[in-house]
Amino acid sequence: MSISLSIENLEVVYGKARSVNGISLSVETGQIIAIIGPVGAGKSTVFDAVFGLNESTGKIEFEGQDLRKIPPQKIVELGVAYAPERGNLFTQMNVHDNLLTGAYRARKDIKKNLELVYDLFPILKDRKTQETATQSGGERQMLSLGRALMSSPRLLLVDEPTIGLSPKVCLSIAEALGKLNKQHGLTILIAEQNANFALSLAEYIYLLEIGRITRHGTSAELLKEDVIRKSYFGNSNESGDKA
Amino acid sequence: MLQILVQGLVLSGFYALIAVGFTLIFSVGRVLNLAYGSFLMLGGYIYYQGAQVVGLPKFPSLIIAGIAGAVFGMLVYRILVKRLSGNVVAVEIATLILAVVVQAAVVLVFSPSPKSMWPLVPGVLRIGDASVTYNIFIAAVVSWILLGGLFLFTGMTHMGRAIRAVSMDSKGAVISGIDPERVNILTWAISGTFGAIAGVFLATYTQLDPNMWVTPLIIAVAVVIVGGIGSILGSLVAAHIIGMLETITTSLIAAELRGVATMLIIIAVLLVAPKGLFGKSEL
Repeated sequence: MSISLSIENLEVVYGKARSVNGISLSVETGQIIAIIGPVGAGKSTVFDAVFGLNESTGKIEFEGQDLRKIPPQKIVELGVAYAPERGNLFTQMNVHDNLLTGAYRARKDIKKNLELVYDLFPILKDRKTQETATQSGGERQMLSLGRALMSSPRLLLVDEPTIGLSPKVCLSIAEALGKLNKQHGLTILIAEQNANFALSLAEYIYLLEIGRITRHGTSAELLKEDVIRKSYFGNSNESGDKA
Repeated sequence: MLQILVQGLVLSGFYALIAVGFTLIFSVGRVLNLAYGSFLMLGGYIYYQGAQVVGLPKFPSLIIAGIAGAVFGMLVYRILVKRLSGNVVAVEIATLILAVVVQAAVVLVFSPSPKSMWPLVPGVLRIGDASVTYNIFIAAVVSWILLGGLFLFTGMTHMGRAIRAVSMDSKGAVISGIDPERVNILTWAISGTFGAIAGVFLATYTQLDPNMWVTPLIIAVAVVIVGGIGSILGSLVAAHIIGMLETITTSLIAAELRGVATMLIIIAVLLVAPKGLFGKSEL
């Protein structure tokens, strides 16, 4: 298997605080990998660093290419897409225009990608002309994923896809991500505080706490550890993530 | 009554052009360009130089003024605004200083005395009992063509959508592959063009003089405060409110009170709805 994303010794410093402290991880092509950890652990910071949206040091490579040498707006062109926490959607645009904007650097694939997105999330097709500001949290999350998919990515970074969503919507998001991975071969890196959600999808999990990776392993391996099971996976099916 | 309506409508169309050029920059770059009045003044003087000094035909002179406005806008962005990016107050002070510098330059080059301009098209258009000069009528028509063009451009093209995207969420835009730098440059160019062409109309409607940057800046600020800062739709509506109000004041009360009504409505909106009628952020 070839390596899709490789991060080595990543450090991000905000002011005097070091919010990500020398983390390393790698994602193989075709995998779903999750970074789990509490709010403020630095998950979003890692994703922002991949896109060059903050000042960081360390190595970040996508398919062997050094991402640090590429301006943020060109990274999507290489095949990396990012669905950030809470979307960063264009709220005064309608659903369709949001999707078209996601295709800014993949204009040839618009028709194919629109079909993919509308097939994956039929509700978006029904709400095509609705202004995004008036949409529900679940629809916005779907739109955020949809917009990312419009760039024809090979690697998708998804930050907190379940935040504030009902279990039913979480399930359909999980189904969509699973389908993208299995049927379309999309490599996916998810950041989640909802460890159960991450567990249901990812084959390998990194635990990020206060800017450091404290554990990593397959889901089965992590579940064996008492501390982790209690603090992150809980005993119920609800998000047992409160650290 | 019809006279007020017709006069108000054409004036409003023209005010909308002035205001949209101004608010476009705010909605994309989140800065107030207080040198915006200079875009109008420069447009007016360049048109004058072309059409009345060199003797070029009017239409090409108008185009040249528009292109010069675009170039000036891009230069202001590159040389001044970009370097101060992130510091909103510094941008406001610097652009205001630039406006004063441009005024001094115009005095040096063209002399301080006002110049009267020939109308774009002489004559008077009669609509029923009402009459309006062809000059301001054409200004309104061209304004609406430009605004309609902008509407289509931002609605239908990738680059146009990119402008809207940056104005709504710059992180969302960057991760979609949009270069905010290109969008900013383009916005300043469009603003420069709109300003310069509006300046030609303003100069033919009133006169050309080195202080003429102040009034359009006040109109632009007024429209933007009333409509809601950063909202293009709000600017269009507010331009009509202010255009109509000015026409009503000047026709029914006294011509000297033209600007007073505008000031009163600014204060009223700031007190009652600080975000403006359609705005999302406070000034």
